[in-house]
Amino acid sequence: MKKHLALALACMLLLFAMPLAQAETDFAALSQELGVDLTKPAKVVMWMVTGSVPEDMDLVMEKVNEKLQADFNTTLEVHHIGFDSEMTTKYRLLLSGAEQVDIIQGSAVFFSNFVSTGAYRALDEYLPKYAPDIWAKHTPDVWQQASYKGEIYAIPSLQQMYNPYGFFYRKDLLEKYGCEPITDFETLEAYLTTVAENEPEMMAFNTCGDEIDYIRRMMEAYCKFDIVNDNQPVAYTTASQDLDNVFFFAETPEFKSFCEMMKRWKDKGFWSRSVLSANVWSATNLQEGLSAVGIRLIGDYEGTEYFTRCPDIEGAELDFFDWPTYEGVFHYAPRMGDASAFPACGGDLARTLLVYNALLTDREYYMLMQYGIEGRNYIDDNGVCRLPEGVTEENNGYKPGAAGFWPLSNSEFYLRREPSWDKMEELNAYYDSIATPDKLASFVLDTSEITSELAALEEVNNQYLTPLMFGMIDNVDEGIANYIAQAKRVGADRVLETVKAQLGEYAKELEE
Amino acid sequence: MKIKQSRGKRALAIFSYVFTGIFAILCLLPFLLIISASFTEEHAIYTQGYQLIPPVFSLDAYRYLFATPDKILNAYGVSIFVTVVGSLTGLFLIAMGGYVLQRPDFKYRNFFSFFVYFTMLFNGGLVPTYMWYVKLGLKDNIMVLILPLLMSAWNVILMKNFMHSIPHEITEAAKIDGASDFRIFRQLILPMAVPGLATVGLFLGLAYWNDWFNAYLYINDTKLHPLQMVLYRCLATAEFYKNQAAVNVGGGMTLKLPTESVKMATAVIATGPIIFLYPFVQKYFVKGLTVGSVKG
Amino acid sequence: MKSLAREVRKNRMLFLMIAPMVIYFIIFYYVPMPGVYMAFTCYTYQGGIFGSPFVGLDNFRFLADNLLSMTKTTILYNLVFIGLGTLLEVMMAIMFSEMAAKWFKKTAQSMLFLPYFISYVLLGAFVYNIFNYEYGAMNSLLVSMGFDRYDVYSDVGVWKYIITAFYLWKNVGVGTVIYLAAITSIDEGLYEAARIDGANAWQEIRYITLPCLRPTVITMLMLRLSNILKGQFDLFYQIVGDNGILYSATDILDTYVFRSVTKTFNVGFGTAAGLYQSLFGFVLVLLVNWIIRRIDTDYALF
Repeated sequence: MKKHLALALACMLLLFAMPLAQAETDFAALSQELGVDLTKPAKVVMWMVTGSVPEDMDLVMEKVNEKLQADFNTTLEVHHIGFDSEMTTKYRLLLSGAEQVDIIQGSAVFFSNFVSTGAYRALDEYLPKYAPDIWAKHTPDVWQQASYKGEIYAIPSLQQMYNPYGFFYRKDLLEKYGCEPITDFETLEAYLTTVAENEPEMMAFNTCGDEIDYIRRMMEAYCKFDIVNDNQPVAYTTASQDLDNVFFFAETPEFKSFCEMMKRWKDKGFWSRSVLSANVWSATNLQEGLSAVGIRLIGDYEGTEYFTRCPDIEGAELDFFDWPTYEGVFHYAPRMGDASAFPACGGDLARTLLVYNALLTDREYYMLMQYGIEGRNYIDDNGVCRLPEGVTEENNGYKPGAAGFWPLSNSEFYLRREPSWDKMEELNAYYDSIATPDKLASFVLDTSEITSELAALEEVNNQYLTPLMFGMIDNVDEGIANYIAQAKRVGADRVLETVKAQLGEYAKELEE
Repeated sequence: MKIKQSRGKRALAIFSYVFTGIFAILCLLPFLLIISASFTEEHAIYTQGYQLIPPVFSLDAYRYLFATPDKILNAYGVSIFVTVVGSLTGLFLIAMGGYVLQRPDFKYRNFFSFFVYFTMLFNGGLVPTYMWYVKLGLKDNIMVLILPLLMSAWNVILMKNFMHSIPHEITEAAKIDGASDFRIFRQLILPMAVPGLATVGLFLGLAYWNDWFNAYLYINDTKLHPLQMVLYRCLATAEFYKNQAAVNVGGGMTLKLPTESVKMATAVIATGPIIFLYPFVQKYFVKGLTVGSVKG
Repeated sequence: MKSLAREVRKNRMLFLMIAPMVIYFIIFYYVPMPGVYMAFTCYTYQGGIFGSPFVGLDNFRFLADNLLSMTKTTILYNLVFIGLGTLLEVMMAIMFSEMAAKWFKKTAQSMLFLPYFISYVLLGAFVYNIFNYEYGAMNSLLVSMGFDRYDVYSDVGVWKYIITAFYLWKNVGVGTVIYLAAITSIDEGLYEAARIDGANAWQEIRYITLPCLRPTVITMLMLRLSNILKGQFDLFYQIVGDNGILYSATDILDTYVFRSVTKTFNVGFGTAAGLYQSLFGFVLVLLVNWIIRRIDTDYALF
């Protein structure tokens, strides 16, 4: 009897043990297959930039790591850098090598400044082997955008985006005063003049000194220029990207006309006389009823409907005067707008890329990282993203996009958000029809020879150009002449020559 | 004789009260505006600016900040712990060092004074300091909130100055009686240096209470975040949602958070407790501690 | 070395007492100090601090252009801040120490602390609220009294007064405490003796209080002079904002460096500027310390 019992027990134990043994991934075999040693557990550290860390971040990461453990014997540690004034300080410190950082946010601004300092690792040899899906999905010209001196240093997101800038304006006021629809800067000025004369409670274009970059883009739209590269402030070309024609924008008649317009606008009182020290953005003022127009960009397929409302103003309705329509030129946003880089102070690059590949192209991982836990943070209603019972925009513990995983975006798995703005369909269709590839997207400027000039130019721009562009200088001709003189004094010519030379080489390569 | 004296003293008194009174009111007024604005509805702040009495009352800012009350309460705990422990420890070590530095019979006092002072002028910069602290194991460690601020050249020199006003004869006399330097320091000097201790202690307390940068750089664990860090994060989040159209953001977040009033509310929450520190410390600024010290 | 060993044995306790402080400063200040070498290299992440290519004085080039005017502006502002600041702080400390009404003392002093807690960001918002052209409090007041509006943000000349006023407003409260503490340390017996000799309030101040405050004033002056080219970045940056028109009168070294470095992300530039500020303050203090030594070695910092 006892012997039989013992045998029965042994069989039961065996039966129980077997499924367990099968459930364990055989990492040794997997390592052989993939060519990466996964037999020892390791962690991959990822740093992203975001404005606010979602409350449910820990819950979501738990689920992600459950899967990662099973698939790759790896744990993912996610940290965030806040989108604030100390962002670049923290970023720089993370790269310094004091600690392990495997993946870091590497979009355009960071990329162009840090790639030449050797902060990132080259990926060419690793990508086809360890991130095969990503390697296949990106076309060569996208990889070109993520390259520097012939080597790939970042992985852009798998999402193509529109990024038009333009004026949102109060349509209800337009109709109230019977103004002509806004199609160019003249009709815009007419509208603003009418508003300035009839609406004492608001300023027509209540902008602020902090918006100088938007004003610069407005200048680009008005003059139909395109800046050659964001890391330098002097070399521009035409909006149609005629790369043989590169010039210093301040020396053109178009720029003079723009400055005269801005002076006119300032004299008409469209913005505060103290505009340079103000710090409330025009879009915010627009929503608070303190401005009739606001500059905004819509970086999304859906152009969420929220932008088109003024929640505190009765009867307000907004419409959009987009600059691409005015210029007749439109490029898709550079793919490096969202990208990840892989710092030199990381661990095993092969393992990191395996994980990254999964996060970006595997649907289960993707939905977790981008949208949260299904049923708790979102519901997939036939391709539309809805909120579950009892969850509102405000209390959603994992708001889409809040975790800062924008470099990991993939349009394949994208869930539409509603309500969306109806005009966006129309605009998207229009952009689809006129969109051309951006010739300058993969042009990386090597600034190592001109860093001092660039720093000095920053200062000159702040002191002489910004007041000019806000119309604060009384004598426009003198103002422009003075600015040009100051800029040349600190080396604007040298910068222009350097850019022209590098661009010339780049253009030759393009043609091949 | 007496009449002349009291008139002069009275004139001085009146002038003192008026001058300091006006200055004090000028200091108080903006703070009242801040308190009021923290209770004002966001839209009203844009349209009506800062007023002494909220034109449209609203608790939105505080509701947002206290949405998860544990966060703020935990932060208060961390801040108070760090401030108390850091200030007391630092104060003791600084007092001890400052006392030694001004002892006329300490041959190397000039060398060490210079040694300390030099650090006020030159430092390696953020990158080297960061790498070194991380190597020391200070990442995600509560000690990183305490140690870097423990002693600064400024406080040491200030303390040395206060210690200097205590006559050296006291030390000499005690040494003749056979007391050790430390005993002299502990039993004789400390009680007499109370105003100096209070001052440096106050400065240490303020520095600890206001610090968020060390937490920002070295601490990822939110449970170890001090008050200023948590408030800074809240504010940055609100600003982010407000300006997010300025940034190339995928996903379209659509929240409108009361940024301006939150800015004000964070100031109120952060300042609250520390305001009561000064009246507490003030009682140590009492004359007469050193009366007849030399004679005795 | 022998004399040092002898000294340590003789005053063992004193060295022991100062040891924690010395060790602390070595660990937390002196170890990272060689990193200042970064001011002379073109920092690469592979080279790190000491392996990056040496570029000599290249990183200082961006400063060269405006160096003289920046230095002059910064020094002038700081001298005014230090001078007026010390004057006000000493005055108020004396006034408070003479006051009889305890409740007034306590309340007023606490109120003086409040500006210290108002961040510069908030201060910038306040200043804008007061001075802006269309809706500012100042201009509304002027208009209601029948005057014309005054465009403060375009008037370069008036800002040195405005900035100084706000600096004093923010910092005097805390500085007063130092002098107050020093006054309470003065031997009461001196005052009694003077009163017996028939001195009035003003004479007490002139012949007792002020001389006894001298060491503290000098120490504070020296400490503040060390930072003569630094500091106050937030004050200027938040109040002036990006207003280029005002730069000629309100740009100090820190704001200038910040704006230049912020776009280029260049670590070497920032370190270079910091080194310049440190050297300048160092030389200045050495000079002043030497001068003071000639007068009375007791007052010198070292």
